[in-house]
Amino acid sequence: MIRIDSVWYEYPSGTVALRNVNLVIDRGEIVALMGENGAGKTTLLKHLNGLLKPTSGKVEVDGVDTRTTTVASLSRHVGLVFQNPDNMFFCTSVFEEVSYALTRFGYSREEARRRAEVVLKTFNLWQYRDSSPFTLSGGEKKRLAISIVLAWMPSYVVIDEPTTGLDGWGKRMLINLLLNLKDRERGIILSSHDVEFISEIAARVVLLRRGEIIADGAAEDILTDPVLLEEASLLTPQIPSLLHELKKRGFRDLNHKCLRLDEAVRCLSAILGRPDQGCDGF
Amino acid sequence: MNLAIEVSNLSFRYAGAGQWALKNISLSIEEGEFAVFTGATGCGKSTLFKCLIGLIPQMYPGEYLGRVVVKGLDPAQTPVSRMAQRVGMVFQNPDNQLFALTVENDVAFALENLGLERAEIERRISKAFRMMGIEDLRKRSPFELSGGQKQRVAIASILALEPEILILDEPTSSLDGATAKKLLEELGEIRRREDITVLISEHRLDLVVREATRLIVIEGGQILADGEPREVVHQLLKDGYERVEPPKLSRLAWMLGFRGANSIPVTKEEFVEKLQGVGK
Amino acid sequence: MSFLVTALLFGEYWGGMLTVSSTIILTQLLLLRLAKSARYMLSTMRGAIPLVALVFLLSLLGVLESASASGELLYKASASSIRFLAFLTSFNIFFLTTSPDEFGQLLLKLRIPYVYSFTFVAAVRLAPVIADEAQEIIDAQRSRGVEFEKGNPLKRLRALVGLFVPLLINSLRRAYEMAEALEVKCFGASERRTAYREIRATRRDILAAVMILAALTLVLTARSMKLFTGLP
Repeated sequence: MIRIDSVWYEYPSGTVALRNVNLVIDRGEIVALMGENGAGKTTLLKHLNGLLKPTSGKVEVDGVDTRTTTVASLSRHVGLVFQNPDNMFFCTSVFEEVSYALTRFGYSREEARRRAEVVLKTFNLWQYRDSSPFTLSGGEKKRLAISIVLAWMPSYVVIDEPTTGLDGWGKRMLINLLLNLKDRERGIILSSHDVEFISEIAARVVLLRRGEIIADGAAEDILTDPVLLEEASLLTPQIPSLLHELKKRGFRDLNHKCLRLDEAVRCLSAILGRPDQGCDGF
Repeated sequence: MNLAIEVSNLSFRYAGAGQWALKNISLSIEEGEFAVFTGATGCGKSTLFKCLIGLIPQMYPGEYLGRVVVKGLDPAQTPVSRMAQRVGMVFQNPDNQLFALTVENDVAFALENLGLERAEIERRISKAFRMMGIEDLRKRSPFELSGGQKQRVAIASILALEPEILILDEPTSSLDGATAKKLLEELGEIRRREDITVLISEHRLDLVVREATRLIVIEGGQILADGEPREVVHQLLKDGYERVEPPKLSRLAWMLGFRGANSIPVTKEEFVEKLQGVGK
Repeated sequence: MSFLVTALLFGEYWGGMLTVSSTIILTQLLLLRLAKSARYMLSTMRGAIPLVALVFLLSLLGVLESASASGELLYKASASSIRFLAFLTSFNIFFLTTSPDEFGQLLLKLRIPYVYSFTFVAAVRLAPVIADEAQEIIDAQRSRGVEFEKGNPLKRLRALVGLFVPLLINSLRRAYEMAEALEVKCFGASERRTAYREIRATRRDILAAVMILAALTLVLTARSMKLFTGLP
């Protein structure tokens, strides 16, 4: 369990980036921190593995206060993937890039090899194992950045803006992977302003605005509330936005708390008075 | 209608690269269009844009086949600084295209380089500030601005050149949805009001489909689909193409059985209309 | 604008005597009153106190060996700390008061080709961007187990590879991107570049220049008249 307790954070420049943040995140849960750029999402993520220490309040990871230990030892349990993969790579091959951290964390050479192979195959990067990471495309770099951290299977996987640079296919792969990790009792924390992506994984959503939490709840409650989203300067996802419009135009008994495509198909087929059809398009 | 851009059988390979970045691209764009280019990162959109203003092959040498005509000029032969006065180009990362320490000097930068009179500079930058709605930022430093504001400054600094064609390479990739949507709508407005041709690359189709008159999908250096946005969205859904995401609403409509090539809804309003026609 | 000249002159002027350095600092304080930013400047200098103390201590130790009279010893140590302080304040004033844009224009006025002054401005502008990026890279590497402050020198050196490789590659990319942006902004298109905003000397600038010259003359005459002979 990660416990964030009345955390305030002030940058040395004097900017207050977090204001009294309280949050408990369990294993087996997907939490999306959402808000516009500059709302404090990244600052909060950097508290989870101790890169930043709260100015006041405290952060505990499985009962350990982040101020009492090192980033290196916390990172074994809290794997943080940065937004820009270019800030990460420095090895000569994709394979080494993954095995590097594994050896740092004390895995044997063989075990590191085995894990690197598994994770690179999962992310469809195994064919590039001997290439330089700098020759990969944007989407491949992003996948590599995530696989580097997943290789050591931290208890908590933290990803800053997981969808930047990913195409439709990459996003779907990531959704499946995150759901799988959730089933394996990992805690997953994402920061994102991509409302469409977060809609699809039905996460718990925490809305941040100017360093403060303004809402914390199930995605189908928060991402379907245009007033609340507006307050956090986020767009309403396309599906709830459509359903709201339909309700306004006379389809009164519509359930507007649908987020995912399959749910929307079900609920609209019902009012169209025809059986659920045509799911082959998905 | 006059053609703003005509590309015939263009192929390009960067010097030293094994693969062709562009493969036999043919494309023509009429004046006044709002053409949206989409495709995964590294598909060749940026390379194509660089060919249109002459950065390729002038700054980046390589193997260049085919022919490009932009506003009657050949970008391969015309100095980029001359091309740039007809074709403005805005890049993805505003930090790397702002050079001065006040917004005002930044917007004036290109005009100073051209050696324009001060009165003319004043006239043009005032207009550019108005167009992007950033008059209040004039005296600020570009560092202290938000990502959205920086990108506006970057666009204003190109609009000050009074180009006839405006090319924007992923201008919204670092912006959040709400900020991106607003910026894209304003660009649509500028196109209508100023009669500029706009070429833009964007992967969030739902944000841009309203403004687009044209949608071009690129993959692996080739044109995969090109046409009126509704047609292209229809084609993407029909082919079950995975890499480019059509607007979610269009996908929903498709799954509900609305599959007409000329009638698949691409916006919320169209969807509502469609359902009102059928349901209740 | 002329603060810049101050700073440069003082920077050049290695008088090295207690009196000289004190004159410099005094003049600077006067100048700051002129710029109405004395308090701000002093607040930024607070961080320098430990450094100055260090210089004082070090020079004290340094001259201890020669084991001369204690009065002279103290004098020498204070002289070097004050000299150091004068140096610091000079740079501080320069960066606080002179926008690199304006400095670039000054270089132009001195008939230095635009490319050079542009390079200077761009370098200054990029410094904070690169600093931010370096911090991001350090954070990213620490998150994957790299420890920059631990282990033997060889290990630390290896850890630094993780900082410098991404930094270098990003810088190369940035260089290309900036070059593209310069091209499309018609950099170097015209022989005669115009300046939208030109700098002009105001009355305060002239006053500042006069004060600097006065201070300088004072110091120079004193020196040539050998007023301080016998002092280091």
